[in-house]
Amino acid sequence: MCVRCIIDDTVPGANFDKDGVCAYCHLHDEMDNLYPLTVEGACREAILIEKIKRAGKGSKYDCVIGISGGRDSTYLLLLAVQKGLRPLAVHFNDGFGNPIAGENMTKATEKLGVELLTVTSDWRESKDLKIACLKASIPNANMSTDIGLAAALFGSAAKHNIKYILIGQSFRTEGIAPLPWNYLDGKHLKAIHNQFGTSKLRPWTANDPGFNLGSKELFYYIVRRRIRTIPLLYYHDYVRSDVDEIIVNELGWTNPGAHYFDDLYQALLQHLQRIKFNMDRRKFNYSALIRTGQMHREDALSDVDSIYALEDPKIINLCIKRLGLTREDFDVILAASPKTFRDYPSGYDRLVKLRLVIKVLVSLNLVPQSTYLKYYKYAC
Amino acid sequence: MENDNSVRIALGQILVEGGEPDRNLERAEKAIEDGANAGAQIVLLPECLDLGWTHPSALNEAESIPGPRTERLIDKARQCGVYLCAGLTEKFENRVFNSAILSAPDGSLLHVYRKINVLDVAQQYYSIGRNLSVIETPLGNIGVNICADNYADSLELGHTLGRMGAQIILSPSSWTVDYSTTNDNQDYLEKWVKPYHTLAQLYDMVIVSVTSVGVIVGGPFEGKKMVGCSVVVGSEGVVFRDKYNEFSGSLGVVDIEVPAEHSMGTDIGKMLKEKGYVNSYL
Repeated sequence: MCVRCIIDDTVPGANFDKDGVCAYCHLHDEMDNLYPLTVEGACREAILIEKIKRAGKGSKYDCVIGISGGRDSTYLLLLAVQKGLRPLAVHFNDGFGNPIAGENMTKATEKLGVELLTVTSDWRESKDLKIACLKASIPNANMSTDIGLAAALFGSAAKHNIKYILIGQSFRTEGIAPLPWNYLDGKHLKAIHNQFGTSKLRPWTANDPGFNLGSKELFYYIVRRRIRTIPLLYYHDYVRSDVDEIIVNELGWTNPGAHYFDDLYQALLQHLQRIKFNMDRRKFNYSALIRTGQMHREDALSDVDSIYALEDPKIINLCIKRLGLTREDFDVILAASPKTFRDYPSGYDRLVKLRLVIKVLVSLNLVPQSTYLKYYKYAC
Repeated sequence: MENDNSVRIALGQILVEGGEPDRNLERAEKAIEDGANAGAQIVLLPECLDLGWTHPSALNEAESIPGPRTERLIDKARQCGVYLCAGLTEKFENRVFNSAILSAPDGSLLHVYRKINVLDVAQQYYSIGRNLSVIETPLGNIGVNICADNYADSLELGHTLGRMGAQIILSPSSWTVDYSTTNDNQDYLEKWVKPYHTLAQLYDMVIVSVTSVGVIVGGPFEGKKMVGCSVVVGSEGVVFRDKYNEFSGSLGVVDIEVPAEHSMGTDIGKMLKEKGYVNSYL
């Protein structure tokens, strides 16, 4: 186990150095340098905000913000409005939203006077994709939601001719997931669906991409339409307890019960990953909190010894039932041999070959540098 | 309340999750409580709020009326001192009905209505009801029907309630739209408002329809969703329209003027004729 955080050798790519510090701590430090919490960092953020405002001049919105009703996206929305941005809030609804998070979104957008656009997937597609990922035995069994969300954000930005998408990720509180645990790409999802799905997905259109977000579509949005994705929280000293207080007081936010629990399907995912893949995302979540002094290492170690609250049996059963599966069907899925993303076609090999191209896109600010670090420098 | 003819109605536009009766009933109870706290005398809740409209669980999880779910809701309404009208999936002998209950503030079950105009693809779940009733209450004569009973091509059901003296029609609903519908495209509302307004004008009634919110996650209507926008329609048109939402409920509270009792019996024919109503088939 890392001497600084709680990343251990069950986490792919831990690569401890001679002092016993894991690669994720080094990646964190490198990102901390890229997004410093200093006057210089604040200036860079201010310049970025002005750029976003300039790009949206004369339009109704200057950015798209993906919201889920969880802590991170709710705070991001508040922050953006406080900074004078005019966001279009976009929620991707694939039928598993936590009702508590739903009420949070409604309250937050109403109080902030922000327009909310809900992009709802076709449930027949959502269900078919989720079952396909379960049958494929891959760890990131919620990949379709992540792809659908990203596609919804790009599609909404394209439809309204918005050049910036703000996302509520924070490496300082959420950490960085190992690539094999959460690998996703549009080609990979399509390959799995082709093999295990039962129905056809609707085709891509720029404004309504559905679950299609392969390299061609990404090229269209990022290079042709020049839509940029900004992790705005990277510029902030994001302290969870402080943020909770702010959004509770200002927006009447209610904690959905656990990190990631804005999505009910996360209960099933957490269970599946623990039982079948010996994975626990708390390891990188808590490690981030330890690195930023928001959690004691001893408390984190003690917490990961017990089953996470997210893994609520009632909600797991809800997810199974909602997919039209029986408990027996799900037990068969749990018992099947675990696979990795490398067992199915994906865009990973091409991505590896495109290292230089991505580096150029990073230098043009079209792709965040953090993506480069994660996918290349610290890839495992 | 403006005068003695005014009634305050709470529209509990709740999130309904298919096949999750406990979670749905919890939200229904909260809506009853919130409605009562807002001074409502009547709380109206959506169609099949227990299992979700056309969710396959209707076939094996429906309960009798009265039964545990009915009692749970009526008990809450009794504690809160309100009339309650709510849609539930009813198991009766070996059949299932898409039903609605009407209870009084003292907890008595005044009426159970079983939907008549059941959609063709929904008939794999629900049998056809065979009765219409109007209930006399101190608040006025209340008729109950459900959602598609008010389709333009089945307006006879609303006409019948009008002829039976209804001053208010309470209509638990579950309006569905395609998954791709967004807030900026609400043409579908006209489909409902037009027949409601027709009835309201002809019989000088108020029609209150509460729909649910949420994605349909099972059954023949997968790919559709409920988006709220519950309405109250009187003879002058839409009196109230609740919020558009796809995942989060809301509570609309409306004061309505209960219209005076209208003509009855064959006088209704004259009243309709005076208003220009033509039965085009004859």
